[in-house]
Amino acid sequence: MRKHKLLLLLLILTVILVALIAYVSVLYWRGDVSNYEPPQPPSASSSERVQSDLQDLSQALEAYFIKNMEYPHKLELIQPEFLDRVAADPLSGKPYLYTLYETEGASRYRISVPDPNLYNVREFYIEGGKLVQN
Amino acid sequence: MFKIKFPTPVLFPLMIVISFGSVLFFAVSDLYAQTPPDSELIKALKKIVQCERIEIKTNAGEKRNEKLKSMVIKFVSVSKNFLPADYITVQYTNPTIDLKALKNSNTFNVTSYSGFKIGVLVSDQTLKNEFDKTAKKMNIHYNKFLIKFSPPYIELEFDIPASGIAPEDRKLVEKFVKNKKFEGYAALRLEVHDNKIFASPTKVILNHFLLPMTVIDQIKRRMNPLYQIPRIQPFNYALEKVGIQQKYIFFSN
Repeated sequence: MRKHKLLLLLLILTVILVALIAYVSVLYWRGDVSNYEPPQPPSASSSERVQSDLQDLSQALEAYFIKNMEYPHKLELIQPEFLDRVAADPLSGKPYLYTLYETEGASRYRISVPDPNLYNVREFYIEGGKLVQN
Repeated sequence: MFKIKFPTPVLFPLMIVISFGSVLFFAVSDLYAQTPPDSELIKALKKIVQCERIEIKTNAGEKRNEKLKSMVIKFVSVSKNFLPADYITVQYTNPTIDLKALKNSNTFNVTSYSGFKIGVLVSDQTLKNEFDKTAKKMNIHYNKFLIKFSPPYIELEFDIPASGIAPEDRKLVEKFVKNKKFEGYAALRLEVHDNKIFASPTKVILNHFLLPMTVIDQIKRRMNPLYQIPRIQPFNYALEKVGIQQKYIFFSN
């Protein structure tokens, strides 16, 4: 009976030790120089991609403004310095619409989705950093 | 009897010059009353922010005497009193500038405005220069420290002596030290709340070991807030947004 208990304890210890070695090995294996890269983003739906595109474009436009004291007259002017590539709407493949206007003497812009009905909404745009989808 | 005397031929042109001069003076001072010259503003702003260059862009409207519609101020290569930055741009909508303070004591003050925006860009090179400066100040000699912006992450590759890390922080990663140095990689995201910058490491590799999330969480708690951005008066701002772009870290209110 005592021998059985000892055997069981030894077995548990062995399992713990193996698990620990396996865990450390995984950490060591995943710490290789080839793994020097940022985590991959999770896959996103078309609508989520549009939201992310609009936010990236808006932030790049604001960065352009910080450097140039004005917004660009064309969306393409933000690449490559502020955004590596100006993305297109994932569902229609058409470029996003960029409108520049002035209110109270200050420049403003709106970036909208060319065919919002593809996302079952009437409006889908970003303005002043605020995302509107309804 | 009194006789009306006409000005002599010498005095007549003089009077014209004086009257023209006074009209011009009042016109200019009236114009100044609404839109002070950029040079005056720049002189006053230089007292607040130490930087390489200041640029101002105003929109004064079409009519004379009209109030400023908007004013954009750009500070280039800001080094002291703030976050080391390549560009800081401040935008006021419908600003009223305290002209008395500007004229009398060369002080920049905006008494009212309908909108205020501040944006900051920090490049990888500026960040690297700041790291070098701090390392030099602390007498830390490192073999490698690379910064790369991979939106939405900042990637770091480093090879630094273990002594370069504060003892209380070193305790956390003591078991990963090899040859008295830390060599590895980190991918982190940034957050900013009320002018405080927080780093959020998502992946850290130290001396060939991928750090477990529990250790990363402890490091995160210890290192934050990473930086407190000073508030430069009279710009009353709270930076709340941050983004990593191809070439810059972007901050705004």
